[in-house]
Amino acid sequence: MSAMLSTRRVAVSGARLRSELLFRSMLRVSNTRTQDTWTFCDASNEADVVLCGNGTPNEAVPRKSGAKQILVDLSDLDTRVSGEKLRLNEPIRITDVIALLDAASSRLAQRARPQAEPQPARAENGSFAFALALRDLFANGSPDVHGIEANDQVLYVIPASRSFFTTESADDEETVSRLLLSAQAAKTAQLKRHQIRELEQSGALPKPINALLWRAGHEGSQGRLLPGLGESDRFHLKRWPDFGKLSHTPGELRLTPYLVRAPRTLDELETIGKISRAEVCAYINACALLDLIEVKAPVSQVGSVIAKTEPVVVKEKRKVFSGVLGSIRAILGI
Amino acid sequence: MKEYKLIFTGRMGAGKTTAIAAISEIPPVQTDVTNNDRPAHAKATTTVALDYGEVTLPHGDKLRLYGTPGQSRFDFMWKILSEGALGVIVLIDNSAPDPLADMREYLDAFRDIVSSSRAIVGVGRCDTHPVPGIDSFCEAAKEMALSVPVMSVDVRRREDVLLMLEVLFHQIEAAEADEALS
Repeated sequence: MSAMLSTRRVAVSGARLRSELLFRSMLRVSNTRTQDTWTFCDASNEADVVLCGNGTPNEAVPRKSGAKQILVDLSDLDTRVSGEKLRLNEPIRITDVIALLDAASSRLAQRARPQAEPQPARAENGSFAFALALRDLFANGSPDVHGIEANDQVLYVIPASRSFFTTESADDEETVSRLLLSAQAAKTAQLKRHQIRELEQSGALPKPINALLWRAGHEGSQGRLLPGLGESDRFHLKRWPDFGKLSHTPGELRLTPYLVRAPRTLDELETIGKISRAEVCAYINACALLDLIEVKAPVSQVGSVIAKTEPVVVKEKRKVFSGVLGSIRAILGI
Repeated sequence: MKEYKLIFTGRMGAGKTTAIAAISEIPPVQTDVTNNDRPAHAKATTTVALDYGEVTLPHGDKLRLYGTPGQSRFDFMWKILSEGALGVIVLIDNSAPDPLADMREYLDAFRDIVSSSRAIVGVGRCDTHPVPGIDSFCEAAKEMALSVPVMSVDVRRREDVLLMLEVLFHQIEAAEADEALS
């Protein structure tokens, strides 16, 4: 994929329902032919392009922060971009809509470049961004093919079938390593039909994504939890990860049965697994990317007290069981 | 001298004999005879009674490894074996006609042990037969109101057999720790 596609959003503000429905329909029809991929969103302050209804004052439209946004006034059917106008004449034809959206894409791309300022250190972490990109893609379960691009590498994923592929010539491990090592944020975009056809013709075969997600969760964590997972939350594992296929540490093996049995805090997991907070976060992130984690409300101080007393009780109980299990482990070299 | 039992169960061809051989310190005592069910299973021989292996522990204690016969006509033996067992390892052959049904049958047969978190399911031949996936096995267990670790394994690799034991042991320890708390 030479030129990466962007997914952009368009919203309507203050327009008549008929106009909105007309534009939504046209968007659906035009979307395989536009330069970028366009989706409809309800909140105009999240949209890249806002179609403003007849007589709606521009200042009345909730604006996207960062100002990378184009307003299209439906009353005179032109776009206002830095003083330039892109006119649309009635009756609106599908080719006009495509031209409008492509023009908006170009304007947005031009505007984005000068604004590319140094990002804060945390946002620059490419491996974390890669993990985030994967999480967002798989959360929506789309059946479409999406490309994730960073560091001159592209990974193609199909969220609905939880699979991925690279081009025939690319080595999977190498591609993932380069994506994880990238200092840039990963860009994602839905592929067009002709791009999918090209990939199919190249002989690329989809493979299960779990090992890749697992690796991204571990290597992309950098000691912190993914957004949506809170430091004070309790975490519950829906089921054991497939450790037959997924790499793991002794600490992760130790804490997994506890996570499966009941929700646990990060503090508890550190104690049980005898591993660092960063390792716990990496494990939780990896499990979250595989959709194995349930997040529960934070515990009260009472819960923490129970956790702190737990190792003492475990030790007492081990008089009965741990002796023999320890012996078996020692004999078998586990 | 104390004795501990570890059970390996599953259908004919699931790899019970191989798994026991991977960890037993004595050559496994096998009671294989010619398999008369060749249309259904390609194995030339199969276990009609028990596979047996053992591991000597400190103080002369023994870990006895039992492989149950694969055919369900020997299921009377399952209950006898499960009494007082340390744990059970259910082996599933994913190339079998209905591996999910196989798992349900063995989880049901050893329900008491499974319910007390002393079981693990190892699914073999996942590379050549990826469907049903591990998720499907977990869902099937959940539908039986059972929670059990399920993982893909190749019992020809000793490290895979040891991994199953390790997961089983961690589960036992966690269950005992939680019991002690309650």
